[in-house]
Amino acid sequence: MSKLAQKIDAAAEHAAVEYEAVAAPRPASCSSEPFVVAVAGQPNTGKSTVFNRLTGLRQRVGNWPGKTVDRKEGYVAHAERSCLLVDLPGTYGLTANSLEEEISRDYLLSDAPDAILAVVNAASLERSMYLVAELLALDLPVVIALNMMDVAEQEGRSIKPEALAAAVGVPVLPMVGTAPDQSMQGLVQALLSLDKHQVDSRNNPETTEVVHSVAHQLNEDSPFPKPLLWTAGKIVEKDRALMSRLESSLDPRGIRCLNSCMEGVPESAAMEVYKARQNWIDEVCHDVVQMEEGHSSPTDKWDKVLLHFVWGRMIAFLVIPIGCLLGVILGMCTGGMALMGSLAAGPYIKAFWPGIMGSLVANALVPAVGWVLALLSIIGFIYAIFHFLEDTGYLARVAYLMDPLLSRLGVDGKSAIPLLMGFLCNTVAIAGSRVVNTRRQRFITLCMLPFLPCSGQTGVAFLFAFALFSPGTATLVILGITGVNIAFACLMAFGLNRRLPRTQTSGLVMELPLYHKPNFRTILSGVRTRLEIFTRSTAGFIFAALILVWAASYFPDGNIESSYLYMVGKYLEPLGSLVGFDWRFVVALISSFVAKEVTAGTLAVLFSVSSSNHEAIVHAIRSAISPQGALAFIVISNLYLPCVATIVALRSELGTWRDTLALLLGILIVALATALASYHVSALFL
Amino acid sequence: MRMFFFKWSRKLHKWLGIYVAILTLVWVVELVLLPYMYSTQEGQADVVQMEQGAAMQVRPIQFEELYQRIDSGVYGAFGSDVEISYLPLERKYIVRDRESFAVCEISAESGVPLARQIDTNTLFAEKSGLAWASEGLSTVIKAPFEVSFIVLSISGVYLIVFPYLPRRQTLGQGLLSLAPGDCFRFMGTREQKDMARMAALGLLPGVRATIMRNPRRGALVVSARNTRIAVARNIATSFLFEKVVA
Repeated sequence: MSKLAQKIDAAAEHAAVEYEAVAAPRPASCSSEPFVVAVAGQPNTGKSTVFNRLTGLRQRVGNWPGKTVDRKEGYVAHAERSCLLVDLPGTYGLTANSLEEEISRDYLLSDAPDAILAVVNAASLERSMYLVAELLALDLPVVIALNMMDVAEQEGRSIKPEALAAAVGVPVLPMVGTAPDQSMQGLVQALLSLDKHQVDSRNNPETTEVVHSVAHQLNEDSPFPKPLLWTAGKIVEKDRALMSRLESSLDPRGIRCLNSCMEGVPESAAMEVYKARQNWIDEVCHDVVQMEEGHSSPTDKWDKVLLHFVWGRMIAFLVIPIGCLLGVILGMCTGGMALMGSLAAGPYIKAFWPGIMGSLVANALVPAVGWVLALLSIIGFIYAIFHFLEDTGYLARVAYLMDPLLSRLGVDGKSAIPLLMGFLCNTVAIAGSRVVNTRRQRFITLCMLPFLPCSGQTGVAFLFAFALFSPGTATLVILGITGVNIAFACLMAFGLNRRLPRTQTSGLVMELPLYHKPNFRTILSGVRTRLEIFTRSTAGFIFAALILVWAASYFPDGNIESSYLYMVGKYLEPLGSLVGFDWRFVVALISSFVAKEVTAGTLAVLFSVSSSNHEAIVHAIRSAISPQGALAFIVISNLYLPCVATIVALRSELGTWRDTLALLLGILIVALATALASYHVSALFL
Repeated sequence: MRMFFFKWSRKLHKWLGIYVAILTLVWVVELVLLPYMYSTQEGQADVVQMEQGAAMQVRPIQFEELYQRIDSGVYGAFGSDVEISYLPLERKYIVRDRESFAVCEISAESGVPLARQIDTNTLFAEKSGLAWASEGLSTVIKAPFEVSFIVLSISGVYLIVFPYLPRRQTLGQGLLSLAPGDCFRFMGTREQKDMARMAALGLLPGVRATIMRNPRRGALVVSARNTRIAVARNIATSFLFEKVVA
C-alpha cells in the first residue's frame, strides 16, 4: 500500500470513529422507507468511481422520469443498517445550465434525499467547494468525500482533511477512489451515522441581507421550492431556469409575490451573493491547501503538446480515428464472428427444420441474435475507448480543439465527440449527444448525425464501389460521397443555426480536467451501463424489425418472388427506375432499414447467390445495373433513411415524433434528389 | 460596408486560396507522375524498332515518303491523329501523335530518326487537372481558375489596404487583449447569465487567474484555482478584470 493510501486510510478511520461516536441512530434506516443519500459532485471529481466502489454490483440502472439521462441507484449496508445511494449527474452548481444539471438540482430540491454525499476533487478543492457551498444551503446533512488525493499530490498540493472538516463542520473523508486498496469503510460508517442536527451547527456561507429580505417576502404556503432561503438566493442571482419554472407553476398570487421580490433586488445583489460564496471558500480553504513551491503541473506540460495549434490537432486527428478503428476491429473480431456464425447457420437450420418455423428461426431470430451481439460488442469496445479517453481527461481537449471549426455551424466543441462517433455508429452517437450542453446545440447535433455515414454504410459503399468501378474511380466515388454526406450535415447545421432562435448560452465554457490515470473499473462500469441501456432500448426493435422483414419476404406462400416484400418492391420500382435500378435494389434499400449492413445480404438473397460469395453477388449485380445506376445506388444507400435503431434513438433524444419524422422526410428527399442528380450528372463521366 | 468588404475579402481569399492551392498541388503531382503514366512499354519498343528501320534507309526524304514511312511503321507505332511539321532552318520533321503524346524528330536530309519522346506540353495541356481521370471533372475543376486569380488580386489588395483605412472606436477586447502567461483578477462579466456559469467553474469575483492560451481563433484557456477552463471568445470579451503582475 502506498504511503499516501496509508495516510488517507488512517485519516478516514479517525474521521469515521469520531462520527460514529457522535452518531444518533437513524430512524429512517431502520424503517421501511430507505435512507436515501444523493451522491452529488462536479464533473471530473471521480463521483462515479466513488459510487461504484461503495455499491459494487448492487446497482440498478435506469432513466430519470421523462428524461433520457441515466439514473443509477445502489445499496450500501453495514452493521444491519443500509442506505440507498442515488448517483446524480455531474453538476458544477445548482444553477442549471444543462439537462443533467437540471435533473440534479430538481432531485436535490425534492423531498427524496435524506442526506448528500458531496464528492470533491482534492486537486481543485477551491473550485469544487463552490458546489458544497450551494449544497449546504439545502438544509440536508452532508458528508464530503475528498477524492483524488493522489492527483492533488501529483499537482503539488498538500491537503489537510481534518482542517477542512473543522472549517466546514461536516465529516470529510479523504480517499483515492481509483486505488484498489482504498477502504470505503470509513465513508460508509460516516454515511450511516449521519447526525441530522448537523445542519444547525455547520459553517454555512454567509447569506446577504438582500437574500434574507427576499426570503421573508416569499410565502411559506406557496409552491416556492424549499428551503426558501435557497430560492431567495436564486431569485437574487436571477436564475433563468428557476424563474421560468416558477412562472409556469405559480398561481397569480405567487407570481405577484415573485415580481415584487424581484423589483426590490438591486443590480449588484447577485455579485454580493457570489462574493459571499467566494469569501466562504477562501475562509474554509485557507488552512487546508498548501502549495509546493516551484512545482509545475504535469497537466500544463502535457497541454503544451496536446493543445498545440498544429501538433495538438494532428494528434487529435490521429488518436480519434485510430481509437474508433480499434473499437470497430475489436468489435468485429468478437461480435462480427457471432454475426457471421448466425448468418452461416441459416441454411443448416432450414435443412434441419423445414417449414415456416425453421425459416423464421433461420432468417429472422438467429440473425437478430447475431446482429444484437455484433452491435453490443462494437458499441462496447467503442465506448470503452471513449471512456478511456474521457477518464484520462483527453476527450475534453479534443472538444476544445474542434471548437473553432464547429462554432461556425452553431454547435461548440463538445459536439465533436458525438459527431466523430457518428462515423462509426449513428445510434451510439445519438446517445452520446447528451454531452452537449444546450438544447439548441443538441438539436443541431442530432439533426447532423443521420447525414454522416456510419461504418455499415461505408462498408456497403466500399463493397459496391470497388466491385463496380475501377480502383481509381471507386476511390473518387467513395471520397466524393463521403464529402457529400459531410457537406449535407454541415448545410443542415448551417440552416438550423440561421433558423433556430438563439438561446442564452452562446459559447463554449468548458472545464479541461487535469490529466490522470484512468480507472478501468469505472470504464467497465460505464460500458456495462451503456450496454444495458442499449439492450433494453434497441435490441427489441432489431428483433421486431427483422421478424417484420422476414414476414414480408415469406408470406403469403413462402416464395420471395411472390411475397409482400416483392409486391412493395414492384410497387416502388417506378421510383427506382428514375435512378436506374430495378425492384431488387428497391427491396435491398427497404431491408437496409433494419441495419445498413443487411443490404449486401438482401441482394444476395434476391439474386439467388450465396451471401458469403461476394464475387457471385458482384457478377450478378454488374449484369443488372448500369454504372450510373450503381453510383446512384451507393449515393442513396449512404444518404437514405438511417436504420431502425438510429430512428428509435433519434426519437428518444429529440423528444417528439413530429421533429423526428420531419427530419427523416428531409433526409429522404435529399437522398432521392442527390441520387437523381448523381445518376444524370454521372452520365457525363462514366 | 467597410467591414462587410473586409469580411468577404477574407472569406474569398481564404476559400479561393485553398482552391488554387489544391489545384496547384494536383498540378505539381501530375507534373511528376503524368510522363510516367504515358511512357508505356510499347513506346520503348517503338524506339528500338524505329532505330532499326531507319538505319537501313539513309537518304533525303520528301513529305509524301515520310508519310508513307510513318504509315508503314518504320518509325514505330503512331495513332491515327498525327500532326507533321517541317522546320526548314533545322531541316527536320516533327511528328506529333496526339493520342499517345509521342513526339518524334526525323532528319529531312537522311530520314534518320533523331529523337522520340513524350510531348509533355500537349500532355499537360490535355491531361492535367485530373483530365486523365475524367474530362468532364477536369473542365469543372479548371473553369473558375482564371476568375479566381482576378478575385484574389482584388480581395488581396483590399486586405493590404484595410489596416490603413480610418476606423471607428472599437469596444473593449476583454480577455483577448491579454497574452499567455498574463495574470488577472476576475471581477465579473457584463452578462449576468455568463456569470453563473463562470462562478460554478470557480471563477468568482476576486479570484486570480492566468491566461494559458489565447489563440488567434477559438476559445481561450484560463487557469484558475488549478482548474483549466476553455472560454469562448465572445464570452471572454465580456469579462471584467484587473490585470495583475505575475
